[in-house]
Amino acid sequence: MVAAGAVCSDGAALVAAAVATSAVAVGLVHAVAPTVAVVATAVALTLSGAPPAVAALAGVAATVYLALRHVRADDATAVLTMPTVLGALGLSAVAVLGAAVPLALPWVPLVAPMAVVAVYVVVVAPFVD
Amino acid sequence: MIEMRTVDVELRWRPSSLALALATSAAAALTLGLLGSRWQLVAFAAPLLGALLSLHWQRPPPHVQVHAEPALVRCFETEEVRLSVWATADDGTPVEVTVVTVDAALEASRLPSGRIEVVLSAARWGRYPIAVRVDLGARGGLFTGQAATDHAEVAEVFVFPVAPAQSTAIPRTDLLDRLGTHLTRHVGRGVEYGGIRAYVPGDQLRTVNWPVSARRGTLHVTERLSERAADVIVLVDTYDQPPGPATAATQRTVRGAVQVVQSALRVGDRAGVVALGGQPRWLGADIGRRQFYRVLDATLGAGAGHETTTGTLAPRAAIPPGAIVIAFSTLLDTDFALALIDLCRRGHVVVAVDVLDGAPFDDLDDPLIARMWSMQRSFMYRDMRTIGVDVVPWAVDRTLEQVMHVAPRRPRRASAGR
Repeated sequence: MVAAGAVCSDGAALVAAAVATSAVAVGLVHAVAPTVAVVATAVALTLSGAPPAVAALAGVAATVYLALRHVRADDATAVLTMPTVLGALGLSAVAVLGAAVPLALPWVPLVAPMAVVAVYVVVVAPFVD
Repeated sequence: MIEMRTVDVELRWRPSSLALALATSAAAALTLGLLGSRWQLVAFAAPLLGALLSLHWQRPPPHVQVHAEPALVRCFETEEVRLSVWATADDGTPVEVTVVTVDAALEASRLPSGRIEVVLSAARWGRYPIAVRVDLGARGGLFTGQAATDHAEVAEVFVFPVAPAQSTAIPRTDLLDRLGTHLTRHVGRGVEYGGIRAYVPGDQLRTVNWPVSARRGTLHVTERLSERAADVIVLVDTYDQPPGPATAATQRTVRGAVQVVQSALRVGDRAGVVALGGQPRWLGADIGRRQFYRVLDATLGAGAGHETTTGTLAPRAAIPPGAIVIAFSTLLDTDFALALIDLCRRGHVVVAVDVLDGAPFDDLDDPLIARMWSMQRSFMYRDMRTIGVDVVPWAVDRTLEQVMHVAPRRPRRASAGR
């Protein structure tokens, strides 16, 4: 995950990648550090401006990493179920394909933030009630 | 005692730490993407959101049952009992079980079979519920479930008091006309010497006292005192007591009751118990070793061998005619005193043992209050004695057989109903 995030990075992005690496190391013993590592990887991606395919690869790696760090009773099959794997791979494939379409509409930057927030709310809603 | 109890645990589901981590990471990535206008971060967040979105296709949450074997255990104070507790989910999800109880030494060890073996011992009599905390993950690890009630009660351990072996005296009164071991003043078929009188036709020849007859020239017979049995009913006050010394004194109610029942059964008397307050329950008088354990069960409300009732008075069926009633109480509750007065009106000999030693106040700064309290108590003792209920104070440093010896003699009265 960190390697994919740092593949195109330089300068400040490398610092973020180093933070992510150390957070991964701390994550071996601490419960919150894996989340910090994922966020630091996102920061490194933001600073480096890596292509979407690399970002999606880092995202899949981050998902598997988080899932494996939250395994209960040494049973990885309980968290890496078929729906989880298919959901992660499917949505990342949709995102990469969407980014690959060379379509530049003038109103996209206006709608995209609201669309992103709407998607997030829809995904998180079942966990809130 | 070998029985298994299965309890359905109602679980409360909430997002797991995995779901929180995924949602936090996705939110951070999306925010960074929006602020920095980096659309590749949407691709980074997409797998995280995809994992969260997979909730709709995950397996439904399982039903969890907690089992205990045996579910009802009886033992005496400081004895060790063992029972095993385990939990199962209907889809085979591993369930973490933590066993908890209060005021008892508990040792839980996990067996290779997945069961938890609990070794429990308690220094004080009482009912010790064995509760479990359940924790499991479900729906692809996105949700964790805990028991909706904080503790799911799965088993009970009843710890019975160990009563001192000394025999307690019963109040001296006219006993029933039934063969027993208590010496009476009445002449009958006992072994104790009662007197010598002239022979009258009908006397058995074997009772003739030949030395006296030879000296007097006429036949004389030896009289023997009869030995009779008693019915002893113990009345236990289980009303809620004010916190402080009164609650601490309730510890001695059951201990005293058990000692009275034990000594009554040992000399062949019939013994029974009535517990008033809360859910009143009673056990009819009977003899024998098994009755002792039945009385223990009824006193603590264990098992189903006793009768339950309602109201504040002792039920008529629980107290056989002519039974001696010995009550253990702090004598702070009016309802219990009313039950004692009612028993007295029915013609029973009633002795109340006051287990409250001193004033029932926690912080007693002024010695005057303690003195006023003791005066009030002595007035109450006098009033109760006037009505017919003898009250015997049981000080902490005295044993029960010492205080029971001072119970005054009281002839049995004809009941109001007869």
